[in-house]
Amino acid sequence: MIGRFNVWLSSSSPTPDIPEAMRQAGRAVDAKFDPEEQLFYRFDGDFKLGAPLRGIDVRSPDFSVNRAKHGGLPDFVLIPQWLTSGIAMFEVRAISWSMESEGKVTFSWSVEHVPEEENYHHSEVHTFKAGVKCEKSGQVSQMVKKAFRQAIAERMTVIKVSDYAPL
Amino acid sequence: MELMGSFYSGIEASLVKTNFFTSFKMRPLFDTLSRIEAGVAKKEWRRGCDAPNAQSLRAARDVLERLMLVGYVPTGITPSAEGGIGIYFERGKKYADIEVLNSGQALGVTSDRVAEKIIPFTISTSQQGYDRAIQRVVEFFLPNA
Repeated sequence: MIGRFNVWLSSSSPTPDIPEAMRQAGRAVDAKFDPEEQLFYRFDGDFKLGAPLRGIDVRSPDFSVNRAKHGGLPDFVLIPQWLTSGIAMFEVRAISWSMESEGKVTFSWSVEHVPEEENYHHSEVHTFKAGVKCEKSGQVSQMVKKAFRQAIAERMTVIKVSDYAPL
Repeated sequence: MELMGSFYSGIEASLVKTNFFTSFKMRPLFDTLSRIEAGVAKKEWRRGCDAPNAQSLRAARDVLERLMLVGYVPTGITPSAEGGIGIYFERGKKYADIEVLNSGQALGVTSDRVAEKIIPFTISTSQQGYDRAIQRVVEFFLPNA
């Protein structure tokens, strides 16, 4: 798939059109994620192919990913304006766990399909506090957030390196 | 307390011993931080996260300077996805970082990257706080030091 990506990138247009496969085109939300489904995360930074990410490269409490189901290619997370960024992959089961804060509050995570007109595969990883979705960073215990970012980063694998580490 | 005392004594001793080798190894990290500072100043920020602010940049420089004093060289320094700066250490499978955020907070983490033994910790944003964080990182990598 990355090979196809390289061919696609060689297009003479600096901002190529959105591939048809990315468009929602009337497709409905699919809330079902299998544990093995792959998710793709865009990052900026200096990593080797096959390496895990670092927690400091992961956002929290929410971050965007693209799902593989319904023909989602890894490189879709780079379109349209992040062509030089890297891509890391992880499976849905990597976020299927919970953690207890020092105050004995249970935090958990799940992924939600949030299609966009030009990116059907767009999905979001959300943090839940005692079962309620956290809308703001301040709702999540700092220690829990820091541990989660590191844990999910270690479960990610770099499948495309950044072409350069931008400022 | 005994351990902390010996650690600070170590810092004082290294003030004298900080040598060319440590300076040489730390130079690329200071250079990277300077490039980030220059990029932020020139509004050349192109990442998908908030640019580090003056507070986190200053804190990152403080941490690097404390690290140079103890002669413990990080693997790298990078903007944090949360907005701020992360200074990270990788030795074999082991990993640790010290993250100074735009909010003024600082956090750290150690991980063995094998048994998922991930331990986050808060850092007081003061020289003493940075020294304690550095001590924690050094002891994580060199438990018998």
